[in-house]
Amino acid sequence: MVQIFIKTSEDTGINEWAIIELQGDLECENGKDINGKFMADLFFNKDGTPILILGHHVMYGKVCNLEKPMVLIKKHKKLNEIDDGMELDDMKENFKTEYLVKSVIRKKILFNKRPKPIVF
Amino acid sequence: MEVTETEESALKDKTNRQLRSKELLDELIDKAKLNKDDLEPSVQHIYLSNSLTANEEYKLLELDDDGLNYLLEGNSLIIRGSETENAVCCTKNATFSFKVAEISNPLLITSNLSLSGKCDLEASNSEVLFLTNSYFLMAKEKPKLQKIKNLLELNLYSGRAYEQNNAQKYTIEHFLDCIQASEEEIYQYLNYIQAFQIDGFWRLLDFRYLNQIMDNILKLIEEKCWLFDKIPAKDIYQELDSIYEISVLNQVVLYYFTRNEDDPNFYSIRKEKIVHFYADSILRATIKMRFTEFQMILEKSLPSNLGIEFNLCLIQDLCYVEEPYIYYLNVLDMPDDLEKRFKYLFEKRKKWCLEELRAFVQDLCSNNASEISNALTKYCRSYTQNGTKYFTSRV
Repeated sequence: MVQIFIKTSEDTGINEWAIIELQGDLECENGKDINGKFMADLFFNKDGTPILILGHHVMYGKVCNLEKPMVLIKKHKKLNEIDDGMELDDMKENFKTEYLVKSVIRKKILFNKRPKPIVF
Repeated sequence: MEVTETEESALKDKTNRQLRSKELLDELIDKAKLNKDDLEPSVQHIYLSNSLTANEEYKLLELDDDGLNYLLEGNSLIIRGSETENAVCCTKNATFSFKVAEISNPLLITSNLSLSGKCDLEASNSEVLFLTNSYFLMAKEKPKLQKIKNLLELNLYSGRAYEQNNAQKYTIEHFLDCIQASEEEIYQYLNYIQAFQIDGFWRLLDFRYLNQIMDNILKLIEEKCWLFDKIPAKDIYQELDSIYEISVLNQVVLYYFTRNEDDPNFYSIRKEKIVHFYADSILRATIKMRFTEFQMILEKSLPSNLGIEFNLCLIQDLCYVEEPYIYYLNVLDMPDDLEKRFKYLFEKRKKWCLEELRAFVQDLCSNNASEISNALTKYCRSYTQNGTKYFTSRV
């Protein structure tokens, strides 16, 4: 059995991250690397309604509080503390996996209305 | 985020990404048939992070407010499990299941996102750091602790003379490494099964050995004419330390006596526990015997002036009576899973009444009346006969 610790880090308090929830799958151009690519523009109406323009679609959404808060945790390999009694052989497996809380998320923007197509 | 103008007058920010040009945005707004007057002036450009698809290191975990506060106070949640087990997640004193929930909508975890559109900057960039269809969630559950008893029973303690040097012994750290439960719950269970700490290791005493210690203590009390509610524990240690370790004697006292509030040098015997102990001693040796005979032998085993009347409810987790016999059945030997426990009980006996059944399931129901009631509803059928309610198996 293993014991894996989840704990806060210096980032936890500072980061303000949110969830954007889309309906359906995110389509990407086949075969192309999506890393680093531009995804969408996010506007807000003066009444607070979020509007997302993603590709050829415009979507209206709403800002919601999450029913229960979520945390984003990131895997981290930590060097085990060296025991006095440890032999060099023991040092092979001297990493321990732990998860650090990168941020707390309490809200999301939900886009679940049918997207409207944009004609260019 | 700060924005700096470069020579090409293409605006870039700290992430070194170009901010999209005003002209492009105006065109988008127009084509999307949005009314610029209705919009907040600031726009956020959302990019996918450079390592989005490579990122297997992020996970999303849903907590409740208590769990979140626990983390924010600086505590750790500990996931405990092996490849073959379902994982659990523990705080210092509670155990939770740790499961994955999958949803149909993709969730984009985005950094630096304003949720009101009221931003000082006209434009800013945000990054999607993690894209997922699933998250982990936790639900409180009862830990499985019987493994602790099973491990300790492999090496019972009967005094130093009988110690085996190469037998496996356990500390709390050992248990934290192999039991899927929180530290507090492990300690509570050790107390429940009456484990002893000897040389820093947790042990269960061999029953006959404990019986011997109890007999000696009670004999001493009788010899010295001590009152049952005014027993000088120190004298017990002094008189018996040639035979037994003081730390063992001390723990026997802690389990079977209570410290007097008015004078901490003296202890009062816990009469119900003594009755329970000797009943256990008799029943486990015989398994089945005539109830009347049992009561007679019990009376003889107990100090004559103990001052407690025998009542079956004192030993309800040790036995059941089907006239004229009494049968040994110890709750400590039963499965630690509620469904398995009911199955075990109904295999022993087709029908049980409430008091009997309660004694055998309350440890798995936090000794809580409504939890017990729910368990009975879930796992049993019931009927009333001659004014008594009986429970039978649902299966």
